[in-house]
Amino acid sequence: MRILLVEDDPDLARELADALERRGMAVDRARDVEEGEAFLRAGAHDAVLLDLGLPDGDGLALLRGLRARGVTRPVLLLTARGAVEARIAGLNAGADDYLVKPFDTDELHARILAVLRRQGGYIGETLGCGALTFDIAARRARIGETVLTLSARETELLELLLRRQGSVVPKRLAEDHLFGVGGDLGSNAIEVYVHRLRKRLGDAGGGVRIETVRGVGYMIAPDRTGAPA
Amino acid sequence: MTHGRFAARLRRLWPRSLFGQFIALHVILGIVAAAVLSLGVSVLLNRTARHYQRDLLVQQATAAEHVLARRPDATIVAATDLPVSGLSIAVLDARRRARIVHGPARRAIIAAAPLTRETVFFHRGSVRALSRPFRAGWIVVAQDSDAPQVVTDDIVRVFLTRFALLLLPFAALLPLIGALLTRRLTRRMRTVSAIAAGIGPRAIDQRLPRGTLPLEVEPLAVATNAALDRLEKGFRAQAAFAADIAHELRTPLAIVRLRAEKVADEEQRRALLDSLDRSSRVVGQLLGLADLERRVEDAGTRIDLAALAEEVVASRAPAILAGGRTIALDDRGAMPLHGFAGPLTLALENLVDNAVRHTPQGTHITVIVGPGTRLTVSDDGDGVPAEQRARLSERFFRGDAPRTEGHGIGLSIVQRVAEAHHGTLAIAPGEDGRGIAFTLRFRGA
Repeated sequence: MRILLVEDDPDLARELADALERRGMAVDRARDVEEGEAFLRAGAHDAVLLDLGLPDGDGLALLRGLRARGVTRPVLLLTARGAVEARIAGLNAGADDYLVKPFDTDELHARILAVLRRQGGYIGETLGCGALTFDIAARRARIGETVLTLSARETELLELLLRRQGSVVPKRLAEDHLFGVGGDLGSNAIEVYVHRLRKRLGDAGGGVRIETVRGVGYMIAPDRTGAPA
Repeated sequence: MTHGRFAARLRRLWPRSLFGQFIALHVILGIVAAAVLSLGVSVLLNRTARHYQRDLLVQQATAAEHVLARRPDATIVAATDLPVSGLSIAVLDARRRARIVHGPARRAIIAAAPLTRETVFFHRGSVRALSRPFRAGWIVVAQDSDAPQVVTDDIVRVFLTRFALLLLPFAALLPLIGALLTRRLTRRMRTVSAIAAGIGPRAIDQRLPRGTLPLEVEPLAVATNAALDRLEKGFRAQAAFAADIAHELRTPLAIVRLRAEKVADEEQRRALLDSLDRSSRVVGQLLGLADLERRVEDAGTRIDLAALAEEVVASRAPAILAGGRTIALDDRGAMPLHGFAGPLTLALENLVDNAVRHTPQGTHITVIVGPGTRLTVSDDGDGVPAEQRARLSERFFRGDAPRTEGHGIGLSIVQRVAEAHHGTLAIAPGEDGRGIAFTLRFRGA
């Protein structure tokens, strides 16, 4: 996977590239808008990490230009501003996600993967969470060596949760995803599927759990006891 | 000593308000003017009347002399019908014996007559008299002012009472007009004062209006506005400075964090990252605070409180769940609110982070929106003793920034956001009496 990092601070760029490379990503470094544009014209990057404050212009301008040219490549903003307006402006300009400095490299890594998965721009063969792996092409989940037997909707739900790993999947989104937009079901239809999926995961040996954030939605996470901190 | 004490008492009684001083001065002025005018007019009138009376006496004396010159033995010497006018004429010889008495015999007057070599005016009671040498004796002419036909004194009396009656309304009207004028003046000052009362950190661009105040007070408004200009400049510079600092700190913090992540020793790495996270949180709060100060001019928008709360809960949930706590959102009929999305989000994030920081693992945190425009973050942790809670609330009440007991600047941000929305922050025991609940109450949209 190839990442373009547009960041003017040389220390941060070096450390960040180093951290991402240790996680198996190839990183190209651009110091300003001009260099960034040059790299982007050459193409071949799966995602762009864009700093907002650059010496020769605003990162947002570069992003807008990119989107205006119809380039849909995932872009994550790295911002030191953090004010809500700045974040919203970034998302409005066409960013896929944003991270406020300083950030956790694991979280950055996860967000890059999540954005790629959501976009369909980068789909690995498998999605994983703790001991659970999910083969996207075969639509088959397994925990360790145990293959889970799941219904079509259970599989859909699991894939959705895995693709958005690390964030809460709103209940409404899950409902739309499983039953189609506007499908009128009982309000607890999704709970039934979550309940069943939990049971299947538990039966297969656990190591992964579906957390409920009451009033919001669901989230898949590795079991705290089974996973490293 | 006594004089000093009297002056002090007078100074205490003297009103401090312009209005009061104006009225008091007018009342005093009215009384003095009425007194001086009455006195002056009465003295003038009396003097004129006396002059007139003396003329009359002289005329009578002269007339009597004429009659006696022509007929030395005449008994009737008066020019007028004496008994009716209250006039009496006596001609005395050298030994004060009355040779001729015409009109009422006034022994007292004759006895009191000075009988000198010159014309002398004198009086006994209401009777005014003249004595003047005539041949070997004197002529004494007396006039009783109380006689019904003598009107000069009556005229003076009647005139004076009427004059006083006329003067009275003027004396009373003067303070009244003054009062009305001053009232107009002070009302304008009060209007401007009301505007001044509204000026604060949330409305720092507000200024006193020009051209409303009386010309004499205008310099005060101008000087106040100039002072406010300087304050505003400093205030904004400070907010911008805080924002710049926070902003500038973030990149080095990011570099340090990346380097810390490479520390091989697990324990040391954890400790380093924890400290870094704490610094980052403070920087974020500083930035949020500066952002809030800059936002005062904005009008705000309609905020969907439930959606805002859902976003915050969703964004914080992964870390909270990973930390061994749970979080839930409870919508109890939230209503829209007019305000600032950014600061409100920041406030809620701070309350949630606060709950996470001060509770043990296994704690359930609940974000409750509604009923209405209420926003509550409640936990079932160890809670805070009532006394300490009261102290915390009191500090909010006094508007001090709560900086101790590990609450950091988080709660002061929440407090400021509440203020910016004309809302309140209340602290109470959590749901079911366990833990602690922070409730933000706002006015509806």
